[in-house]
Amino acid sequence: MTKITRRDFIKLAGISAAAASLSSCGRERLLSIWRQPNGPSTTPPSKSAWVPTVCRICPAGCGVLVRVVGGRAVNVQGNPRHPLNQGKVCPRAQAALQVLYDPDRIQHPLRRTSKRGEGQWERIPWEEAIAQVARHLMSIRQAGQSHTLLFLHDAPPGHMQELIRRFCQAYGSPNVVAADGLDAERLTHLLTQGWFDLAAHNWEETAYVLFFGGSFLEDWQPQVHMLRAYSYMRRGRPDRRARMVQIGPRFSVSAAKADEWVPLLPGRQGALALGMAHVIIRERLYDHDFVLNHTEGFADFVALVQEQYAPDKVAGLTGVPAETIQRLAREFVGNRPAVAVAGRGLAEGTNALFSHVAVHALNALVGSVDVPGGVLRPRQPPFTPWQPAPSEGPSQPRLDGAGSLAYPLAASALHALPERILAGIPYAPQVLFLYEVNPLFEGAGASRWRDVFQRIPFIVSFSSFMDESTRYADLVLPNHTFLERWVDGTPPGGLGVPTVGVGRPVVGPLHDTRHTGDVLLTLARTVGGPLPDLFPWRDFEELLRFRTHGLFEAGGSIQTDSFDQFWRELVEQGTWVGAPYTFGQWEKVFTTSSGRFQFRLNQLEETLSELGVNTGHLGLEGKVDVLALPHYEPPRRAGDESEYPLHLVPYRVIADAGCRAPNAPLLWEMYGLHLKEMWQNWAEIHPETAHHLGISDGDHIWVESPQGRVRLKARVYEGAMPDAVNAPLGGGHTAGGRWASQVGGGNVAELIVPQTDPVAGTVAWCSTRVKVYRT
Amino acid sequence: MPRWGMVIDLDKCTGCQSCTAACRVENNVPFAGPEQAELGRPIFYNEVLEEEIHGHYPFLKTQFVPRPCFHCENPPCVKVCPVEATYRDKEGVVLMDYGRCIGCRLCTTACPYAVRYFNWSAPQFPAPLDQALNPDVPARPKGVVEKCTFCTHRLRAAQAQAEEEGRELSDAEAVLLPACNQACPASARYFGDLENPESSVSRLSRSHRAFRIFEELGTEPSVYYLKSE
Repeated sequence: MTKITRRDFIKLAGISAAAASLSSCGRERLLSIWRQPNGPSTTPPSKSAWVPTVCRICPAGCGVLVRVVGGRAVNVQGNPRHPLNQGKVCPRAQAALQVLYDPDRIQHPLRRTSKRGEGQWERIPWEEAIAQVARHLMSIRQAGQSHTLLFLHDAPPGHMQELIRRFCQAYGSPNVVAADGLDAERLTHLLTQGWFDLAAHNWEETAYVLFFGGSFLEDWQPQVHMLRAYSYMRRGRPDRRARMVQIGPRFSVSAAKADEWVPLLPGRQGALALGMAHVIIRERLYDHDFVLNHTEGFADFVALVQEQYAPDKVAGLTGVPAETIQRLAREFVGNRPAVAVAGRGLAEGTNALFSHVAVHALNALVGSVDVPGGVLRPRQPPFTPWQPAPSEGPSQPRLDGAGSLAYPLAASALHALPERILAGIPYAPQVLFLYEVNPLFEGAGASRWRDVFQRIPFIVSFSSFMDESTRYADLVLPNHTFLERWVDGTPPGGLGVPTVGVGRPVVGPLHDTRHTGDVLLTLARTVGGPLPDLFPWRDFEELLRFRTHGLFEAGGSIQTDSFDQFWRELVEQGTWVGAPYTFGQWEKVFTTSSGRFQFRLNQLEETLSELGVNTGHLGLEGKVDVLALPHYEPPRRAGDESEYPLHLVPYRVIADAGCRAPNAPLLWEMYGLHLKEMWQNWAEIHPETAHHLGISDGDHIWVESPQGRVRLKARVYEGAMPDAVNAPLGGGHTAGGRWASQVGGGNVAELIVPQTDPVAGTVAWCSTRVKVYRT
Repeated sequence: MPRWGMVIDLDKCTGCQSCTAACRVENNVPFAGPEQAELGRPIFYNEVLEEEIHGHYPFLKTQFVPRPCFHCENPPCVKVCPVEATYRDKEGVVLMDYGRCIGCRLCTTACPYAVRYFNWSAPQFPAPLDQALNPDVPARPKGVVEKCTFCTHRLRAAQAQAEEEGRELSDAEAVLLPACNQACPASARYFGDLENPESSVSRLSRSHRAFRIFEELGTEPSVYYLKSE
């Protein structure tokens, strides 16, 4: 259809300047020309199909419906059947179309022809790419060096994550390192309740919520569930309106929508929680039944709290007035069911685990564990169990030190990798696989990863985008985007009831890309050893069919006579939901050896003793008998206060999709709602602080930490604490696509001094001090 | 004859901007890019505004206000258009006739709510992003004004469907009809017939929490807000 300009049509229609005097048929002709777009035809749309799938832009895995017209994906809506989002979506899901049709996507396998990072590639066929990877894996395996495969990923909960783990396990490498950063919460539940997982919540009945850090309306998993729950808690119950308090360093969207904002610098959440516990215990307002029947170690906890965490002392530690601590405590016990939630991920510092433990102790104090409105244990879907993988040879220690003396209880410690790899401890990795992770951009102290990459002889990226890390790869085996591939997902945390989302490819592959799951299965077959038997599936779809057989057997929301029928229904509906949650199944809720909620963290105590770990060596203050109780572990901060006077508070806005949609102009154009910033990141500074530093709103400034410095746009913001600088992660790309690299400002991740919580292994995102000055 | 209107509950709104995103995708709204964004030119049929933060640290307050076109009963934009390129249809929806628009932008100035946007440049959908265009909504050229249409294309399709089935469009169907309403995770938005006293929007518009913006101007907006408690 030729492009008609307005000048053309005026000539065509022979219209004079007096447009208003057009006859009606002239007007219709005019309209008929204009009602055709400069693009695809709008003759009545062909019957379009709405294809259910699972959004994979963030780990939540909302069920979505994608409209397909003439083989093109043209719209994304929520799948009403998915219990998590029930037909709703967040802005990121809307960017799915810009992910699929991203003009800068990697379109076929690539092999590096220049030096690493210089960006010269040649196209190679898939067979050759896979063969090259297989050769590497086989030769390493034959040399007894399987453990030198390092697989970094941030695969959301689902079968890609499972496949990656199992692949490495079968291949013989312990080095599967996940980047999700949520292990402090998981470890909290392991130590207090016996299971390693995030909490699920039953917001429908909750009356009061205390958010200790984080931003529940901007950076939560699963986000859409929380957004819906907020609305429901406020207005969904005619007789009740939940009260919410946001504690934390920023006047975020969440703080604005909560009833109260309690400013608190990062890392101090534990102290505040314990101050409240002191009041609750002193006034004997705790849930006596729950404490008596379902907890252990309460007496020791009481003794510590009474002695150490009186409100006046906690006021000194936190800056929160003693009266506020007392009031919050009384509100918490007076509005049941009340839930305390510790901020995850970016809200965590070097004391992440103990902050989470202290906050979760509040839930136990008021009996909000496994009751309506309280904190639940997610029920995992009954997938068909995997065949047990035989172990080959002695197990090797992990590269990241998780599980060793360095990080005794951590499951993984991504941010400890660079130091250890550069020091050659405990051995050198030979192959690096990257899946949905971009350490060179997102990692703490981002660019230090460049040196790490240079130490690894062979790097393979499965990314769809030529992002910072992928530019340093040797081979790129680009994945399909999620709309082009079989996907599945189980929500992290979530609602308690087992939920599975499944999606078939919505459109055929646009380019010469392949499902990374299929590639791993092909590699498994090729590499040999125990792998082919352990991975008998031809492709990822077949793997999903195998695993979901267990769902078919369990019944749940899809009850059919045959599995084939079940599978068809599952793919058509996009969701499977299991049995509703049954509260108070204590044997499931507490799988500790006592069968109770542990105030006394026996497992921590035992592990530390067994390993002979010196707690001083872990950087922990206090003796083991105190460590094993909910206590305040003071946060360590990188940077001397005199030189770096401000606390850096990194955070995420809801429009930030991380490495899964770096190049979606839709999201960058709505990036900073509260500051009306688009295509630009910023640093929020309190007005008095800004004035003191001679910084005006809009000035470009350097924000400098001991790790590095970046240039950001200063925004004077009342909602910043006087001694903090708040800066969002996400901006500052130098790769990833034309729009990613047009976003103004530096990469805040560069500023983060790599420190970890020594017990949980999580990176301490908010333990870095900075200074700021005009450029 | 229905008169379409909208209600937005500011208490429920979480400031997530799903509405903004869904609308842009539904309506083939081009992105502006960083330079044009700097000039204030991105087109947002629906935009989430935030009140200026007030109060004294740390007792701060603000509100998130999603703002579509208000489809006024007494629209200043229609009054000032020299070529009748914008008009209020029989059911109360204020629409554009892109073919007549000469790009004088009197309407964008006349609108007290700043809901109208001019295409300063030709909308860019670099291939293959153009594959994602919604076939139900025409793309616009450079030089014309555009704005929220209350997803009139969806409304017409739903009405046609109802007529084919020999029934009226129900309130339940109407509430989530526009893309913004459908996407909203907080279920904070309602659409429907203000002439029907039983519709959700009618009932909510009579709430003690209901208000409209700049009522004193006499524009008679069809969009009501419910204030936060």
